[in-house]
Amino acid sequence: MNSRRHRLRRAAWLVLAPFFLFGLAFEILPVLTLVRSSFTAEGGWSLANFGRAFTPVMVASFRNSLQLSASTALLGVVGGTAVAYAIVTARSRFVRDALTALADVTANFGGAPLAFAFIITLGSTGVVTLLLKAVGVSLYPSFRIYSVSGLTIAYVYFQLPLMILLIVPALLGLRREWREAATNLGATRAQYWRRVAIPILAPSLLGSFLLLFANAFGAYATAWTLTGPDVNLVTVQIAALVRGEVQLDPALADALALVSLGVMAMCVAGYRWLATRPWMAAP
Amino acid sequence: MTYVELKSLNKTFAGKPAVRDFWLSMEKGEFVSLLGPSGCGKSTTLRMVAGFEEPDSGEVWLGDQNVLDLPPHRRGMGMVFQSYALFPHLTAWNNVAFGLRIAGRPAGEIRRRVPELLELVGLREAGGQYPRQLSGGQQQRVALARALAIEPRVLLLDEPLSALDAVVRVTLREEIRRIQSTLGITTLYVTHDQEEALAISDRVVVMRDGGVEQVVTPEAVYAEPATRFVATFIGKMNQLTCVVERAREGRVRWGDHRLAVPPAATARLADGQAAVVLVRPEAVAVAAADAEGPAGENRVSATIELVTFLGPVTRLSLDVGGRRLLVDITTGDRGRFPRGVSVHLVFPAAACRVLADEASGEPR
Repeated sequence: MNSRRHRLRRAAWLVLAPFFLFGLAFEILPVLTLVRSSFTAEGGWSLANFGRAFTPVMVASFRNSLQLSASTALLGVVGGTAVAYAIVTARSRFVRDALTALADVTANFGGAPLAFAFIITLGSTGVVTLLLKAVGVSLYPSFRIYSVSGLTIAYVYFQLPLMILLIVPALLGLRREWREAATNLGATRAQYWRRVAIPILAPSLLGSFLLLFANAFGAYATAWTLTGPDVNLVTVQIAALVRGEVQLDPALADALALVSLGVMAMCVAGYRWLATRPWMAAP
Repeated sequence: MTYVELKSLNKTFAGKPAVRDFWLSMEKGEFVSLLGPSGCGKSTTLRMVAGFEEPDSGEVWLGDQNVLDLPPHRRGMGMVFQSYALFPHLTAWNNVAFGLRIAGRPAGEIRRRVPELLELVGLREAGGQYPRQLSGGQQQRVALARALAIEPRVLLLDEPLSALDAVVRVTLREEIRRIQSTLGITTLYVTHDQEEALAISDRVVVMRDGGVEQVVTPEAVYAEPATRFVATFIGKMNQLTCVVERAREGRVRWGDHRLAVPPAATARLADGQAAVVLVRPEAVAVAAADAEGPAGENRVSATIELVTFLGPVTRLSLDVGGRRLLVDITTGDRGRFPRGVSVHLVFPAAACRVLADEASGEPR
């Protein structure tokens, strides 16, 4: 009996081996290489790369990335929660399923294709731009899709549906009995939302915000395709340093990537911390 | 004096009647249980009383006021839910304080009242715990304290113990009854557990398919079931399909056996009419076939087919000329009656109740 169990366990590890090898090759080793490279300068152990990572241009790139990530995450949280609430309270099952499917598709539509989609719709000669111009509304030059505001719209396009997918389960988890108990105890609808529903949803909202923030912070293809070097973001800086079109400096790119990794890690740690609070509703 | 009165409540879901012509009067301080199988309409009835479901027709009176048009929080009713429904982001203390804060009670009163209520439900030390840090039984105690905090005129409990294990259920149902008696609060309690309903209620409302089968004390519902449904739902009951031989004398025929029943029980039946004689398994005495055995008006021979140990009692399943009869004996006598043994069964006429042989006929 025991030997059979051992054999089964060994077989299970064998089945998992490709996954571990994959993780080692494409996750662990690259991160270790990144760490070693970022802490190496002139052939020795050094913090010089991090010193160069905090020049005014690089600091500006972090500031822009943080601002863009925070603003699009916030817009995604607010808009996504509103749409998700409409979905979960929709009486028509068709509407619920259709909106959820749409969110599923659009949340995964990003990168260069998304950027091209925005260029041909809201670019200077885009379809929507020209249609609006035909009815007397000129988007340009006050608005440019190739700017931070354009980038914000493009990011919200995938942030909002991602938020819908993240928050729908939490909204579905709001139990009818909580509302009824609050009502029975004298709470109005507004008091129920302020004192019960929103506090219960708060960890999910904050956790989703952190995930959206990380999602935006790490985005590169959309930003690069849409704005090129015009908008100074961390991911754009890293790519430029690695490609070497102007300056080849992979060690500095690695240092920037490691700082970015730290930002991401803080987001994930924050999310995990929120998920394990004792006041989190049982699943 | 009637304190709560439910008048002809009706509710239909998607064309299917959930509650049909439900009437009930409750005295102040009375503990009434709605008892029935799943889907019989007992929770729907409770929810209509609470104000969470709007009846298609009917009235809900509390004192001299019809509260049907009032929102749930203006009806003066505290509700305890099956799933506790505690707010997970609040500690036990704050859950109990919730209704008081909503009502705008002074902070000093809340600080005094909440510990009192936690003390009442035996959870004074658990005030700082969040719901997920409490056991199911503790959560339900907090839910009870929370419902009582708003000083409701009527307490409504919707299957409050069904999610708990057997030992906790027994302890907590006694606690609920103790607290109810202490406060003298009028209580409407929903359960599908007949033992629970019989143990804690002043009266039991047995429901079936949205309608009321019987409203009576626990003792009476057990001893004098009004319908075959009540007879089978409350405890074990032998149902002997008989033909009335002499209605005025209380004589019926069960297969080859002539049985005596109370003449009053057959007074409204006609000779030759089909009837069902109800006898509880514990009302039947059993004696070895070669023994003199106890005397009684009804004596039949039987063979033991199955012996089932049930703890303090042992249930014998017997063959009586091709018909089956259940008899409960004390487990101490179990050794005397093994499987395959022939015995005599004796039961008095007074232990028999007779119903016309209809699906749910009126008691006779």
